[in-house]
Amino acid sequence: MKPANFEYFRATSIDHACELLSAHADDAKILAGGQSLIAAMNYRLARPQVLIDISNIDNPSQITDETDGVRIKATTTQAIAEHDPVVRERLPMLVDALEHIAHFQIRNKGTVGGSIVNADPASELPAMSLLLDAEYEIQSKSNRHVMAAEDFFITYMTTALQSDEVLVSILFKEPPKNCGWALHEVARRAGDYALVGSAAIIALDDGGKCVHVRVVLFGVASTPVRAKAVEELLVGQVCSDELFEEAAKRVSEVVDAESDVHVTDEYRGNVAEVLTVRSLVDALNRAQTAS
Amino acid sequence: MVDKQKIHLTVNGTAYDREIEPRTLLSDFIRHHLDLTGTHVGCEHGICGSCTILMDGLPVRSCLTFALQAEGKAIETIESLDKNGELSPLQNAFWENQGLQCGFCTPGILMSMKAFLEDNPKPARDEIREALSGNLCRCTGYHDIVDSVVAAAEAALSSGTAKA
Amino acid sequence: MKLEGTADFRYEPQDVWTALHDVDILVRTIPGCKSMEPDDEGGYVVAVSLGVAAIKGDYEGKVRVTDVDFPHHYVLDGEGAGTPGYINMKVDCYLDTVVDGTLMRWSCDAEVGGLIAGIGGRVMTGISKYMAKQFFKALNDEMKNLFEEKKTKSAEG
Repeated sequence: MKPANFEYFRATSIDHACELLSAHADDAKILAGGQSLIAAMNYRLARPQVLIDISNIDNPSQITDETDGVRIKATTTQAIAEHDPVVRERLPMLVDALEHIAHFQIRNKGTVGGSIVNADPASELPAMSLLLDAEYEIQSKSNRHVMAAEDFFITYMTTALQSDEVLVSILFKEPPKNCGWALHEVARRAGDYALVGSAAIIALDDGGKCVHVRVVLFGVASTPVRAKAVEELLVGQVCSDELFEEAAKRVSEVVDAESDVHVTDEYRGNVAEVLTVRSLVDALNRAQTAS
Repeated sequence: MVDKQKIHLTVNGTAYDREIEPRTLLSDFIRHHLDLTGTHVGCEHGICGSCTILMDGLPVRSCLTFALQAEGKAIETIESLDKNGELSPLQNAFWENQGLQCGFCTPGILMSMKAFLEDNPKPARDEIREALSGNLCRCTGYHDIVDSVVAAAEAALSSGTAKA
Repeated sequence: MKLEGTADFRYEPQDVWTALHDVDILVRTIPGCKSMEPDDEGGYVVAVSLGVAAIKGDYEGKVRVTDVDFPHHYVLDGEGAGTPGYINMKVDCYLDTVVDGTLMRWSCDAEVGGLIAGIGGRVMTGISKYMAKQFFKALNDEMKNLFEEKKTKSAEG
């Protein structure tokens, strides 16, 4: 279990990384925290010819407080984001998700951007990106653009990021004030990838009607998915457990689960529905307490 | 054939300069190049936690780190805990409470718990269990490990220092 | 590998047909397309450069349109190869008039070989669907430019 050899470059800045990537685009891979990539290389499931290491880029102001949300540089470790006061104040649901990522030893090295670009459909940060309408700042040697998270994930471990591009930062939008949120996962062991996960946000108006709702599932399709059909049934309504149970039936529209060595596709479908109800119930409770 | 690259880092307070293949994992660098074999290598994909070391004070998996990524950093391994053969309070707590049997997982657990107790000097048992979830032990059933961590925390507090 | 899908257009089938057979438009709308030149056999030589991780690389191939029934049906025959592998495909395309324009139904039968064949069917399907989505979105934008400009001009004239 040793990686195949490769050429190693230590990037000193994102611009430098883009230069290197442009020179080696066909064979190169970006190394950030390496908590998935190095494991895959140890198994020789991945054999990049060239690694461009961005884990030691000098990176002041990793997390910035912006008007409509919090911007996190892609190379920020998950542990730094998890303990950051601005993130804890404005995006407590993101802190909850970060705490579900593997174990604290992994989060000390794993990065926020790395988890997103790795695009494991069962991982938390791609799902949180959909929940929080995230925008990704993407850079190549010649270009810089912004892409909405919902356009980013193509299929298993595959994103719209081109081979000469680097994810620079993520803007997680702050949901309405006084919203409630919840995240639920079923995993084999604390810190394992979720067999099924679900997250929800609900915001209420003065009359107790739902004015903003997001429902996201992960581990149940080739990418994380937003259950828009569930959301549509809840907007403008006074929520109740009965309504949630009715709405959660609609998750089957986005669930495209596979059976694997752990559980069957049918199990994943059932659990997706159950966890959606739990997330909605808990999100509503938090919203009612907050307002 | 890929050229070797230079690396400079500090391990347990000693500075080292070496030339290594880029693919050298930090775990293998510590064991094979520095002969510090106290760091154990179990699963080699980040699950078991045996290879956990401290990098600039933070516990990380040395099997999921290339040695070249530790350039300029300060590494601490299990060999840094005792002072001239005298066990640290944390090691002593494991000794007294039978917090180990075969001992394979112990280096990783001790390095993880050293950092954990510095962050959280008075942990509840549930918090200890949560913090141990990243280290697999197939002998003890964890119960005596939790007792050991509780004892280490108490010993550190009663001696007036949070240092484990 | 079999794939199928539909695409909606706000234009008449003959307009959609025109756009789908306009080389300049195709070069701009096919993801990663670098060039498309006529060959001696009534088809085209196409060069494509793709950036998505699992299938990245440069490809060159030939396409040809057969079984033409203007403006309702045609078959696109294609073959291409590059460092990551090769693909042979047949795409069956139907254009139906619907209330607010045209509904295109397409089904694709593809044979994939070489390195990309190792990616696995589900991932390939995901990538193909993504590329189809990109293509039809770009095509709709092109048609908006093409026909709405024409309308504005004829209204002015």
